[in-house]
Amino acid sequence: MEDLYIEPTEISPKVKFDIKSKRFELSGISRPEDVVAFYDSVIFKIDSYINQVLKNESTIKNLSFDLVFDLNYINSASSKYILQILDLFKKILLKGAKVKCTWYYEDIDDQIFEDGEDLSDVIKMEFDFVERK
Amino acid sequence: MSSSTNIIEFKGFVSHNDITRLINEFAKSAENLNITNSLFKKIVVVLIEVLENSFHYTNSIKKELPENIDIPIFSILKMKNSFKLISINPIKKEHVNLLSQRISEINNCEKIFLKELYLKKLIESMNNDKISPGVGLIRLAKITQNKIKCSFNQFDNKFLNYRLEILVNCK
Repeated sequence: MEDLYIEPTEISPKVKFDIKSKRFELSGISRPEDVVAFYDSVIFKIDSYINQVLKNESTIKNLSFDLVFDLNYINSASSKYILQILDLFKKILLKGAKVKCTWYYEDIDDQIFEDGEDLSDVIKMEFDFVERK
Repeated sequence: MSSSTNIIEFKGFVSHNDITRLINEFAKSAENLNITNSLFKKIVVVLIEVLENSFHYTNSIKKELPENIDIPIFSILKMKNSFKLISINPIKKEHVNLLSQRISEINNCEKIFLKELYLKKLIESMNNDKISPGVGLIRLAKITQNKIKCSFNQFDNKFLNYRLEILVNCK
């Protein structure tokens, strides 16, 4: 399976999923004009990959994934799709893979910090919150 | 009567490019307003959510709008201790009840339960087919910790003008 890379724009985030290093990154601003079109392709790719991984249940426990969210802004429409991405990775977390989720924010008053807390609460996954210097 | 200064005013059917332009315009104005980073971000979140709602909704009904309909208006006013964001756009008569009910539900929700309501709606959204999770208005109330003010003025038999007012406190 090929890596996934989408260039960021002024209104849509950078998406990078490096299959070899098992690192998924979403960074920048997420308020794409057509949120469905933008995230559907991302979710489709990740879903295909996760399904492939799930076929080899015996090796899942040896896998380690890094999810990195370094966002400046998320609109409410994007939250739904970010949750769906997290939900896909949660499938392999529940099967024993290690999934580390790092959530960057600017300062404690930052809206993005609260957004991360909300998503972590909904998906019931622990996030590492890291203040961006 | 409290005095206010108009910081941003936009008239017309907003596009995504307009939203980006208005964020940049507000960022420029904010430099002279001596506001904290946190307040600036709150206002920007409200600006985006309100205008994106207006954009998606008016786009969905654009073909049905009469030619003489009042054009949408968006403005940011600087009040003594707050910023007031006002949006006016047309709404179909048949959509008014649902929207009013939604706003009443949010306004009747105790501040401490707004987060709960927001998370509940986000969870529901994960497994439904709707494009948007429908949490925009709850998010606005949760961020600003203020009641949402709205009013509807009859335009003709099918349409009304929907006025939304969101207050963001300076402290």
